[in-house]
This record gives sequence, C-alpha cells and structure tokens, in this order.
Amino acid sequence: MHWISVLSTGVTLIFAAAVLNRYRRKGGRHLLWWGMGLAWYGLGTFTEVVLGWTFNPWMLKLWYLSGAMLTAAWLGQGTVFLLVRRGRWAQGSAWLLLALSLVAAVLVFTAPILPAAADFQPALPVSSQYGEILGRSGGMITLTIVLNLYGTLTLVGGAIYSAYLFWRKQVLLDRMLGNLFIAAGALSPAMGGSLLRAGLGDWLYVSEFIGAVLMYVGFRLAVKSRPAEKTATTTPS
Amino acid sequence: MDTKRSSARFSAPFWLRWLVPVVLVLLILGLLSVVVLLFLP
Repeated sequence: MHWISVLSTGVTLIFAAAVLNRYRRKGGRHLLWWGMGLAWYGLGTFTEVVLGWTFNPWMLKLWYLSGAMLTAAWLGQGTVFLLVRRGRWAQGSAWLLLALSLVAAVLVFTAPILPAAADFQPALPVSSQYGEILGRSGGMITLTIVLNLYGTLTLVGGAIYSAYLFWRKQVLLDRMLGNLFIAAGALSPAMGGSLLRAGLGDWLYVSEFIGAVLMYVGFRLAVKSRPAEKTATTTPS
Repeated sequence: MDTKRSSARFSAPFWLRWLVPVVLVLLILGLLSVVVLLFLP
C-alpha cells in the first residue's frame, strides 16, 4: 500500500517545484500559496511513507497537521488570491489563515499521544489508525473541519467557477479543461478524507495519488503556452 | 484570469458540448457531498 504514498510524494513535489518555479518567473501570490499548499501536500504523503516504515509520534502529528488541516486551506487560499479582485479581502483572509494555521500547529503538537500507539502497525495505513493514537480536542476537530471547508469550497468551487466562465464564453479550451481537472483532483483527497471519517481509511492513499495526478495534469493544461499568450493582457491561471 | 482574448475562442464539438455540463454538475454534486460529509459526526 505504501508505494502509493511514495508515488504521491514524487508527483506532488514535482508539481510544487513547477508551481514555485512559475512564481519565481512570473510572480503572483496565487502561485506562491498553491506552491506552499502543495509542499504541505507532499509533506503529508512523505510522513505516510515514514509511518509505513516505523512509528514516530512527531511524524504522526506532522501528518495530521499537513494533510488533514493545512493542505486544502492553503491551496484554496491560492485560488482566493487568483479570483478575488479586492486585494484587501484576499490579504485579510491570508492573514487569518496564517493565524489559524499557527493555532492548528500548537493544538496538534501539544495533543497527547495515547497508549494505543504501542499497537501501531506500520503495514496498515496511518489513516485507519490515527484516531485511536492521537488525542484530538474538540477545538482541534472543529478547526480541522473549518480549514477543510474553507479549502474545499475555495479550491474546488473556484476551479468549477473558472471552468464555467470559460465554457460560457467559449474561450481558452485548455484552461477550461485544466480547471475541470483541478476541480476533480482537489475533490479526490477531499472525498478520501470524508471516506476516512466514514471509517474507510484505506482509500485515502489512493485518493491522494489520484488527486495529485489530476491537479498536475490540470495545471499543465491551464498554463500551456499558445501563440496568443504573447499578447495576453491579464493574469494567467 | 483572462476570458477576453477573442483569438483563443473555440467551438466545442458535439461530444464536448454535452460532456462539460455533465462534468460540471457532477463536480458540484461531489463538492456538496464533501461539504455535507464534513459535518457528519
């Protein structure tokens, strides 16, 4: 099972490097936030690889913080910077997200590791075992829900909205298709997380891999250069 | 996002004309189901 996390980590890190490289060349805070969100994504799948080998409480906490709490929200913040024209709203929400991310880190790293950790089995997915090992407070669970709600609505909703706009105006076919892929890819780990809550922890690793591949394909389609690009007047996606 | 470049207009083939709305509806349903599932205990 854990080779899937190895593949996910590889795809996600290549994806993050491509996005951050584009940020370095073209700027745009949406690219910076997407790049950082993808770094959280890759960190989350990397901790799954380590936990598939041996148990380490800090790796478990890092897995929860990066994968369950921060990835979706930081990626969604990138979409907010792309779509929200009023800079003040995007800026304000980014500061709020940074503050909430700090609170999340404090809550996760001070959370107790329960005695069930002694029974941790590396051969099984961490997603099906963490519930009995990591002591989660009510605040931690609420913050997880809030961050995921924000991230999923902005990232998936933003991609659906963009695809719809391109479709309605019948312009930029590649970007329309790219946004459809990004929406489907972002929905995949969100679905995996929901199935996890429903007790189907095994699906999370697969959904993370599918999500990383679909979003990367979507990104490549959306930034595909074309002759008309040279005369482009506004921000690329 | 730039939706104003007329040079990048496309005319969708028949299969794409019905497939895209279907995919969009499915994505919206998926998004709604994830949001609902987030609130399940």
